[in-house]
Amino acid sequence: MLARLAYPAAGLDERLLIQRTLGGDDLAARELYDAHVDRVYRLAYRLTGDDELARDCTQETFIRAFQHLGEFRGASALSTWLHSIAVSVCLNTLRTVRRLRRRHADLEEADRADPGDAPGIEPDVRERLKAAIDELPELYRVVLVMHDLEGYTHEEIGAALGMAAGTSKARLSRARGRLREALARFAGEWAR
Amino acid sequence: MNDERFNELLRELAADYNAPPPTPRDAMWAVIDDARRGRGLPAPRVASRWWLRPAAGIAAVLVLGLAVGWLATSRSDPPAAAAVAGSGRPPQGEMATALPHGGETGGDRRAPIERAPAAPSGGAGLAGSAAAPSPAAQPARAPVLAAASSGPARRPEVTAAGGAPPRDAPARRRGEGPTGRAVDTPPGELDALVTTQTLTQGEALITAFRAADASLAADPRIGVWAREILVPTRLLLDSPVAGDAAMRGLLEDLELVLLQIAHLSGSPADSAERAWIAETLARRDILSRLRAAVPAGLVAAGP
Repeated sequence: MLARLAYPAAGLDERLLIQRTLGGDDLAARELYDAHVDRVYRLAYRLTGDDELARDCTQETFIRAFQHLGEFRGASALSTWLHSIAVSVCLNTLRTVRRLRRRHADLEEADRADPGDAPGIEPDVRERLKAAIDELPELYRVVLVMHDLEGYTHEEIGAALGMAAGTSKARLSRARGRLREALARFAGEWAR
Repeated sequence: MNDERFNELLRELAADYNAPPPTPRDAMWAVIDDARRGRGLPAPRVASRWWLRPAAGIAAVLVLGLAVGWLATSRSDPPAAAAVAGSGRPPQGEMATALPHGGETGGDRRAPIERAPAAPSGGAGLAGSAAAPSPAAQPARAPVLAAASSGPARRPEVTAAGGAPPRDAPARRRGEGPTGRAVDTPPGELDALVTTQTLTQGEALITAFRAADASLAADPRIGVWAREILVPTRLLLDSPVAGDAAMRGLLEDLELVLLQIAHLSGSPADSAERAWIAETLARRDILSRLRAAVPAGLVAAGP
């Protein structure tokens, strides 16, 4: 890692890195990228479930961030700002992809039966859970993924999604409730 | 099971929900760094213009319908067309006013399109409908297909009155027009119809591509659409239609642009490719030439 060699003090003040990046310092830009890319990519992957989409979203997030870095006033943490861009990019991407997939699915649906509906087959709980998460309303799913899977705090989620931390808590609670309902139908005693 | 226990289980089971692989840092950084240095920006993914394809299809069908109707009228009225050839002026009611026409200047102005005169043996085909060396002097009789060429004004292959073709014209079989097909036979009409349809679709695609923001180019369906038009374009390049130098030039330019669009992958690295496409479109004036060539195709299809 060239950037890490150049900036051995990984905890170098982020504001200084931003200033250097704005001044055209490529190593500082790389340092900022390295500091945040893992979380952004993980979030993008969790939300999209696809490596290519996650890469696209991550790249677009950072490109937008670098383009508008001069407008970042430091009122919030850079990570919060980055994650709000990332969530926005991911949701836009998913809306487009879903629309495309829905059309394909409509055509394919007639040709295949849903194996989960076959009588006498106990559905795999993890698969059902995945399906249930996928079926959650978008903002419930984002909050659930960010909080339960990626460990964001409600404050971070609220800042990224532009809502109060209390709203984030409420959405997480509703998301879990829906999952519980969804799993109760398939997993019997497990979810009761 | 109480809520706490359920939430614990939920977190445990959901841990492998879309479990991310290791972050491909360097691969992504290469793209981001390119964009930072102004070597291109990724396409923002926003709603795609899915309605463009049906709209283009409808437009193509309408143009085809017009073409068929026009052909039917032309075939049943050869004397009128012959009169046009002799006088150099269109008969009343013979001006097509509904079709776009870029004219010699390659602009977007809409002007009436003159019907082609009836060709004598080896007579006017795609390029032979008329040929004024100075379009500015004779705007009403602008050689429509000549506008399809990006090069300097071309010599007419056949004059409106049935003059001799140039020496450098490709060899033709007896009774063939410049398209290489007998102009009074159904295959010639079929060529013209296919040409018209292909050029119309090409125009629709390029218009959509230019008018849209980068999101359309990120849509994989734009590539599919381009490939669909690429097939007839290549067939036309191998057909007698391409015997006309201007038409060949236009088809080759169209093929190049379609190939470029078809190869867009939707990745951020496409921005340079899109810029190149835009440059090609502008430099070769392709859209204007396409618009100008569509009525020329219809004209050529006449008997």
